[in-house]
Amino acid sequence: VTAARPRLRRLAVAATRHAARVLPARRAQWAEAMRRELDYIEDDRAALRWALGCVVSSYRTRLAGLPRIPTVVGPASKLMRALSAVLRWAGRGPRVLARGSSFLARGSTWLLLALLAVLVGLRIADWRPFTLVRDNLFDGYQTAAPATPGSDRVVVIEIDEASLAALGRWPWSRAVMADLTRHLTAAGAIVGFDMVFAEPESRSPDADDRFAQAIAAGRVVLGQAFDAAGDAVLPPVAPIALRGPPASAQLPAFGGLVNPLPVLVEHAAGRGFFGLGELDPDGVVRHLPMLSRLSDRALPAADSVARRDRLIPGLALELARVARSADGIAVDATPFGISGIEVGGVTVPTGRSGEVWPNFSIASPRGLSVIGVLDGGAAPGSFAGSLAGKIAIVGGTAAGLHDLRQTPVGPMPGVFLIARTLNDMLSGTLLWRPAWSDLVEIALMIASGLVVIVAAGVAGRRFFVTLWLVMTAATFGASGALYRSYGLLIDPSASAIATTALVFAVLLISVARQDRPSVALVR
Amino acid sequence: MPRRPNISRQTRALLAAFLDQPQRWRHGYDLSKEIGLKSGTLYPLLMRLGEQDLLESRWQEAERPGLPPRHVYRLTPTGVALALDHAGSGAAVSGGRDGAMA
Repeated sequence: VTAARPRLRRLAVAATRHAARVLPARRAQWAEAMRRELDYIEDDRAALRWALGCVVSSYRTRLAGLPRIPTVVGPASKLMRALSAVLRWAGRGPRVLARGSSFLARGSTWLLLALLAVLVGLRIADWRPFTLVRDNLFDGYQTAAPATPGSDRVVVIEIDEASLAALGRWPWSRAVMADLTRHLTAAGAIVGFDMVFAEPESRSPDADDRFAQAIAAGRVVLGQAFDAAGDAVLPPVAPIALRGPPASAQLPAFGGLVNPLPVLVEHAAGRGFFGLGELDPDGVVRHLPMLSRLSDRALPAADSVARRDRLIPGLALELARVARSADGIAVDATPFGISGIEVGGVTVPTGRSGEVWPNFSIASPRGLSVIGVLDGGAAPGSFAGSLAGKIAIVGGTAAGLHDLRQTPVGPMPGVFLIARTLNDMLSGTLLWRPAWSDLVEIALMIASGLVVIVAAGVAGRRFFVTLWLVMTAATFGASGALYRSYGLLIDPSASAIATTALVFAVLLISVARQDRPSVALVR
Repeated sequence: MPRRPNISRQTRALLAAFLDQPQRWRHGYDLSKEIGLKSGTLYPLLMRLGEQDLLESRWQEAERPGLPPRHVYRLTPTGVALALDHAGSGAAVSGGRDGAMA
């Protein structure tokens, strides 16, 4: 403690020096008064407390004179004249304008408008700090509350450690997949495969035929993978119609597909890609593409593929179509981008690029081990008997299969991502980040920024800061309410960042100006 | 009847402290200890009272050698009148919220 005392005294002296620098020059004698009191305080800790209070005092005094200077002229005078007309009409003009500031008179409005324009530009360009805050906010919405139970319509059939131990290393013979498919079909499930069966079985030549027969006996959707050097593009099993303004360019493009064997394709009820699309910059999967399109530059034979056949559904969407026995898929577009996908009479809300946002606050679908399904069979009363009417998606969850993806709620096998997305699609619990959300957020950012700039000219200091706090709280509150009530993801943070930056700019300008001689300040 | 100026509790306590001995010059630290106001609240109040001609200040030579002159304060006649007007409604504010003249 003894060794620390001189340090405390030095800190106290440094703090009072800082306080003196912060105070306007015309208050120099007050700065000196506060500093000299230190010499009369014997206790070092008390001296430090005193000095820190002096710093607070200096800043309070600096900020106290913020917007108290009248006269509205200068480059934004039109804006102010319009405002004053409104205020006069409301009977409050003279009182409010009497407290107007010098910001507009001295060109600060242009500075603030320029700052707002830069921030809006960065938001439009999806500058990483904006998206980082937004992503974390949306993650927070989903992780803040405990998980709620979801529909059990979708079940994951896991290629897990126990199954690998019992059936041998991956990949298994198609004969095993045939058995699995038969068991699941017998239990009444629709089957999806989160994998692609691209090469013929070499160990047992008839295994592919057995698998094809099992597929033919059930309702099975096979997986496709993206690969620029892939096969010829197969047209989708069911036609995909685009409604509204041309929006296919918004869809993620692929260069080629790896398709299942023709003998399997022939008997499958559907096909869908299982790619997760472009990840967010932090590698977290927050949304999944529902549709993809063949890139115009992808294949030499691209021109020979009809334009409508260049759209490929995702595995979850194709499974939803098969589950609803729909003959086709319709994509709704607006001038802002894709707004939704209709399948089987139900419209799934999507983002601008046709992506959907699974609701990670809903509990994960159930998982069953492959070996459990094979051992349990479809006997009535067995667990497989509970699969009637369910959608069973087969995929790898064993650590050695390397299919773990980072999500807002932690690492998750890719097959569970597809399963929970499908579950949300079928039960209407998807989150929604509409195509127009960017427009709303940017408009909110501009509007709230202009309110701050105008308020800097006419409002008192307390009202100004209160207005900023209330606006920020209101936008966050509204965003949270929209999420809770409708699963709608509207980001308030861009607006909050802009207004906060503007408020600090106003305060800095105010502090800087107090150093200059000013008739208004003397007044 | 004209409305009395709206004065914060802290300001009333400060005025009351000056009013105890209106002619005595007071130091900032002593005032701070007496009425329980931190320097971060006390000095803005003193500055505002000074700007409104309610307070006068001067530099006072130190009683002990080696120490610098000290800034001291007392109410002007106008300040005394204001303090008398609010006498009885002030109280020590240790532990209370910061405030300022409105």
